[in-house]
Amino acid sequence: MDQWEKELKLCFLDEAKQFLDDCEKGFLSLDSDRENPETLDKLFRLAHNLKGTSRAVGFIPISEFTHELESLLSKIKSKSIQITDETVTVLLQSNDCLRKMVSELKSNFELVFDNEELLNKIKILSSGQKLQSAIKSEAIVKETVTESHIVRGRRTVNSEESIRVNLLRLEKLNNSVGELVILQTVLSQHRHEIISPLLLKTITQLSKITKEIQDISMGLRMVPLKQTFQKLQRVVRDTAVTLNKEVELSHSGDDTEIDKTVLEYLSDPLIHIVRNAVDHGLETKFDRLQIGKSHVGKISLSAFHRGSHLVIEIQDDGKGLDVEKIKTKAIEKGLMAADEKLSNEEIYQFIFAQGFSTRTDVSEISGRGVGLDVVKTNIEKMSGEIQIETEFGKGTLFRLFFPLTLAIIEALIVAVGDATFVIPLNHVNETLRPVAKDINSITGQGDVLNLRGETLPMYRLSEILRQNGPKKSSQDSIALIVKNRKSGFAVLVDSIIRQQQVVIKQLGQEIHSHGGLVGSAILGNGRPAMILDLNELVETVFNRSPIKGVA
Amino acid sequence: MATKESAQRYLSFSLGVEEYAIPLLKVKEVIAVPETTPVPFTPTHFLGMMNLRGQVISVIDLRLKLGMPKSERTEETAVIIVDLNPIFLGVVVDSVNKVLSLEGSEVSAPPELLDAKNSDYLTGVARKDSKLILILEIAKALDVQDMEAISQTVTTKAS
Repeated sequence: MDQWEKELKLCFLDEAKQFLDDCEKGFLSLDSDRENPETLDKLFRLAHNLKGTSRAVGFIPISEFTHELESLLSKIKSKSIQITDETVTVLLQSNDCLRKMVSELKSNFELVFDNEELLNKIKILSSGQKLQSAIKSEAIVKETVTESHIVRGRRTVNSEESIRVNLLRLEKLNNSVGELVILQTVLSQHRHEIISPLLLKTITQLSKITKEIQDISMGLRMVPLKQTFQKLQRVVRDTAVTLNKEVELSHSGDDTEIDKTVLEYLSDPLIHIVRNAVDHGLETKFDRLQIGKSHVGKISLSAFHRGSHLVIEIQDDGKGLDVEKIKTKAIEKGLMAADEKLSNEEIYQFIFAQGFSTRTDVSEISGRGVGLDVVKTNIEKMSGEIQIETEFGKGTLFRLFFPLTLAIIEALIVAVGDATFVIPLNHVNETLRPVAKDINSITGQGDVLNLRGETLPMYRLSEILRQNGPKKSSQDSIALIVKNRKSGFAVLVDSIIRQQQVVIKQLGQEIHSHGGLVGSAILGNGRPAMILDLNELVETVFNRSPIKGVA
Repeated sequence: MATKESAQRYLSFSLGVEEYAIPLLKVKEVIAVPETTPVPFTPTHFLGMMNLRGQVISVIDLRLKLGMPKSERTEETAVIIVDLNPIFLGVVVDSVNKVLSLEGSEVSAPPELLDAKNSDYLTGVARKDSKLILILEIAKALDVQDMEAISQTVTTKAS
């Protein structure tokens, strides 16, 4: 077995353990709340993911087992069978069984399991029948433990395993390092007061080592995409084999690094998109030859950094998206009106709607209508973006944008009165010092700013935040222009202190509920400052959407 | 409430002439009054955010929160960092007195004469060295849930 395959498998087992923890929580909550569609949805997705990834890394026993489990969950979800105590018990037993498989596979990848009895129970329940009688639950638990007949083999534990560290601990480390950097800065600023050469030398060294520690601690969260790409290679290969397609995969940018938290969200969407590309994107060998393409389909993966974003592109040379077909389906599903005029890009986005699949057959690969909606949910969860470029008959390109990290942002530090605020740079389109002739006042509406012929509502940050104190005249202020798709507005601040990267700290639950206050950051002087989302803030304070403001 | 178990330890502090105590287990540390950054849309007792070694913590003036008049800051003024799992809060008090140990039998139910509003967060009273000590349920006194509600309605900050 290759080294990478080994790593891949170990990585999967680690992940699966977490999946199963989540599943157990879900199954347990089903016990008290059987109708909760969210829980059911989540469980179904978890099972679906587990099936997919276990197949991808070649753990067939797990994949076969979860396939049955998924079918059962699917029936429960669609309400074609009722949840009973029996069902929950069997679900929990399945979870135990999977957990056992996962932990034992860790020491030997080739283990074979005999789970006939439990599988039968699942199948019986799936078919809507009841298990013969209420078997004493204790006996069942015992059974499942002995049920898995294990063939013991050579232990193949990798000594180069990585350590899983709780993210909270990392955050604490980063907090302390941040503080260290601030203290270090203070020390360096006062070095002229120090005469002792030894102390001066120590300060210089301290400053170097502090910088190093900061880099390391920030880097701790960053991991290369390599493993994820390897997983994808496997997904492509296996999917292609199952579908009897031939695929040539090329990839680049394996060493591109990204925040671990982002990567966790990113892994599932990527698998879905890639599997989708092989299954739905590429034509069958026969079809390809018919239309004069090579019988080998091409899929390329590439990753690169662009600004503060990671971009991943998944391109296939398959049949492309059929706008008309998607449109028909969308109308059928009630997602759009028959006479609605939408751009092609807007129509493509429908493929991410929940339960949207133009296929009717259920396969082990894809086609149950889960997948692409998971893609969208996960990507949006971390303020990512997905674009589709497609040409009918030529192929499709999925372009995914992710922020490199969720922990650090580039921001403007602004002053209003004696207060300091942090504004995420990507919210601000431009900054300018307004001139008198561009400022007009509309009775009952407040001030407006003329920006190259466009009239934008203009607000003072001090007024939005209800701050008292002397006000600077508009001409002495700086206007931050915030733009949305359709319109925008200007916000006046006293001055921009500087532009810098800040580490986002979550607000405690005691204050986070006000719209527009999105977090805090500790500035160079050691004082915390509020991070403001101007758009949300204006929306909340004026209780209206600024997008629909004066046009 | 008063327990029959062995003695519990409390941290006692003063607000004006009154002496209060909170369970020591809720106390993370005691610090001098730090610089705070005001937070918009919060009530007056909400002093702002502070930086506690890299962690951002909200600071609350307990006098104002309990409806007492504002007092001058003195050398004695201190901030108790309380651990209200999962959050930490800084609480400004006039002075921190000492750690005391109270037997369950020394603590009695709060007297009825206290008006209903306040008896909510007073869990008991104790007499020690002829002084009355009011035992505070700090999470209730700070009203963490309530605070969220307050910050939702935009309140003008008095300066």
